[in-house]
Amino acid sequence: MRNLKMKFRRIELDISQTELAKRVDVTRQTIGLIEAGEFNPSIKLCNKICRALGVTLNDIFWEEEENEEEK
Amino acid sequence: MKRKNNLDEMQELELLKIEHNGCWIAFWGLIIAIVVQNLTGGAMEPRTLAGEWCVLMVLGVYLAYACARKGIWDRHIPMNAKTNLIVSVIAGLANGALMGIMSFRNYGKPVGSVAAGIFSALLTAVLCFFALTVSMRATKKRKAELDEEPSDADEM
Repeated sequence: MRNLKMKFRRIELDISQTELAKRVDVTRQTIGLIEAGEFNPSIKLCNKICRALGVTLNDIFWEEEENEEEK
Repeated sequence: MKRKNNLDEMQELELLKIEHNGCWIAFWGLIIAIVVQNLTGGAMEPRTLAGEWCVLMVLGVYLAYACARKGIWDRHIPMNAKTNLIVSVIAGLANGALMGIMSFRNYGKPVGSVAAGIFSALLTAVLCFFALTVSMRATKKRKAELDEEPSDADEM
């Protein structure tokens, strides 16, 4: 499932994927894949992204139960 | 249809590690098998090594293609001409030594064996450098494509 919360927050701060990638020390593709919901980041990377975006884990990574993808 | 995964996240990562190790054991195992067969005279005819050689080539081509497609070069080695040259020289020296030893074992002529070793070393180093340069350019090009910033509006 796409992470639109993260994407909106990034756009709100007027940061490009490339800029965010630089701040958290990953490639732009990684940020693109996280936003597209095609890659699940580690809790460590989630924390770094949250710090870079000035939000908490709950703000951008919390999913309501009905939205969680079934394994 | 999506198949049910019986593994949890940790087990999935463990399995990937096991498969990763298995891949490199197979890769280096095949190289060692080919070298040992050559050194012990078990490969006088090319067909005796054809199977190992084919598997090694398929594995090598797959790894190179898959990495280039994802814009990945190496964990530690930087993508530049200097490291390509160093790797090519190492490969050349290794193959030169192997061919020199094989030539001496087969024909018993020291001067000819040294010449064969030097020729093989040079040829291997040049071919290896060429292959690495072509792969590096393809990987750099692909990486640049992947690093291109998409328009946020397009992705909505």
